Amino acid sequence: MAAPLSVEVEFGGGAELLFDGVKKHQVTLPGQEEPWDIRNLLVWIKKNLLKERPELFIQGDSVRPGILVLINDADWELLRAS
Amino acid sequence: MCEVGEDYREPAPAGPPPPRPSREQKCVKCKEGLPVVVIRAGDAFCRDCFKAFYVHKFRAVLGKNRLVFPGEKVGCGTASRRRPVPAASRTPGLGGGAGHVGGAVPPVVFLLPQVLLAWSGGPSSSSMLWQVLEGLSRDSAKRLRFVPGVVYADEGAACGQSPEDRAKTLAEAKLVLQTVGFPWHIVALEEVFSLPPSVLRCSAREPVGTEGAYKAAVDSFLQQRHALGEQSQPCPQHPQSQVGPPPANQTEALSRLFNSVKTLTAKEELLQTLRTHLILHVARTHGYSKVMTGDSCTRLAIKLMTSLALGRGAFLAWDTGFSDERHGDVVVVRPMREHTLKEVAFYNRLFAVPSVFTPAVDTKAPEKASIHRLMEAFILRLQAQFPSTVSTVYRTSEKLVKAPRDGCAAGTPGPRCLLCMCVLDVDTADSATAFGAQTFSQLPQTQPPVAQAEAPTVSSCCSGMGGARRCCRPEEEEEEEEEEDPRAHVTEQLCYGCRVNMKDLPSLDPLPPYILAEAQLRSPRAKAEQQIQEYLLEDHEDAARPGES
Repeated sequence: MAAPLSVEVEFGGGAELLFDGVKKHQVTLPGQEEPWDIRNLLVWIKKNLLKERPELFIQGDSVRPGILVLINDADWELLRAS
Repeated sequence: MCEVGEDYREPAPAGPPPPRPSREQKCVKCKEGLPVVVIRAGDAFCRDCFKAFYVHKFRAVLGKNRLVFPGEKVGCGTASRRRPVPAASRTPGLGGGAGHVGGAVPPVVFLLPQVLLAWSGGPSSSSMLWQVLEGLSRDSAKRLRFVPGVVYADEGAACGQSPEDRAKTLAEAKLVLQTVGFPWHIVALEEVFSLPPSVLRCSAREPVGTEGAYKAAVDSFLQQRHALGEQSQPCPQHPQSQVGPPPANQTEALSRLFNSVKTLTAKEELLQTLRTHLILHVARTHGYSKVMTGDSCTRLAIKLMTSLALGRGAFLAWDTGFSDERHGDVVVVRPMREHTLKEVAFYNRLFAVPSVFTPAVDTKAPEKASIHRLMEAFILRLQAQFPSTVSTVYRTSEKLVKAPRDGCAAGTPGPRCLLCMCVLDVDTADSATAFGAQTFSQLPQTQPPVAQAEAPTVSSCCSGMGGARRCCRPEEEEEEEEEEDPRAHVTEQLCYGCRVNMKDLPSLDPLPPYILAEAQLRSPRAKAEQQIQEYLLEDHEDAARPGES
């Protein structure tokens, strides 16, 4: 059971175009059964923040190839062990 | 908490995926720091090592290709031993150029090359700008040595941006340029309508007035700095930079041109061509001998594949190599070609490099909208699964050699494409190429078979002028042909790739006048040359083109 989580989501390099041009979003993720992870976050973003053209942002479970994800200024790749 | 142990990708085709670096690991270089970014297939770097790696790569690319020759004697100018500048008063833009030296040190005589940095506002070119800035302000021997300038091309009209958006972007761009502090030139793409036809000519000589322009630019730059002291000074706005928005009729003409292009692919290619000409013109006018563009490794890998698909395979070495000397006097170099887009993005983020985002012609376009988009999606998707894709393609591009085709006359280079200015990939004896087939299929059906049979044997006479199309026929017939088909004398001066692009332009009228003028200029001259070819001595081939400069 995950408590509500306050997160700042920031888009840049053109990704903000899909979010009405807004770069920084302060969001509060609602409490839910599963713990919050990036995959759930992306789904949530798609449903609640994304304004247009989901195919340009999300591909399947993850972001579209070419879009970089940083968590606290560190590469997402580092947090995905094999 | 983030989930660990879950692989979000589709299963790899063969074998388990290689172990990925995790946060618990240390930086692979210093073995101490906490890693922040994964480079290449699995190297995790900490912040400081990443910075060192990034900066080193930039300087190594310049050094390896001998772009900058510290101490090379080229001409006159006074230059420095460095006078030590206390850190507190170091201004951005300090460095480079000539300095004045007190004391007993005799003035060393060498000329620093003037390099124009082509800045699009995007991350790669912004990073390049920042690297140059930092490189020029380093101490003594490690300092980069050239005089930089920046050019920013406002392409809003071609991308359908509103005047308000363009003004906003321009204001942001100016802020960044002022921070950087180099002399800058802001040009609007609309200025292609006032370009002279000479921009399309390859010039072997240095641009006229180079020495004077250099000295003047360096001197005024230094004077400004001395006069205004430590604060960041306004950079000299060259009289040719646009002060206000371009005239509405030019904007309209540009919009009309781009709206008339049928496919996005051709639009992108046309935009690139015009942009290149514009930047070339700025470089020549202000005496810059080199232009640096911010093409990253990723972009060049995509460009390589795209160029193949567009029929520009013959020119890959120039289009994707480190240096591109097709213009003669101005050399285009690509110092960012070993940095992947990921590295660039991370560096800019971690070290706060400012950039200005502008939408391009293909922003938000669907994946299959153009060949460029398709290739980009292909490469990036492949890269996600196989992280060595981009570097493999890049290494392949490094091996490309700029050699003339076998069968071409050695020595004198052949004629050049009107638009991309590459030496035409023509070999009249070999009609088995796509180029030959295209040329052949353009021959009018009524042409007597005799002339066609003669085609392979008439070698240098017809070279580059669309094969046997216009040669060895009575003049009257030629003139008639010309009037019936005005496009032909432009098309026949293009390389295969450019011809294919032109097909998507229903009418050549909206093109900027310099292109049509130069096409016109080359046509009758070429014909006259063909007619007197047999009377010319071999040496005179160079002298027969007096007007090129």
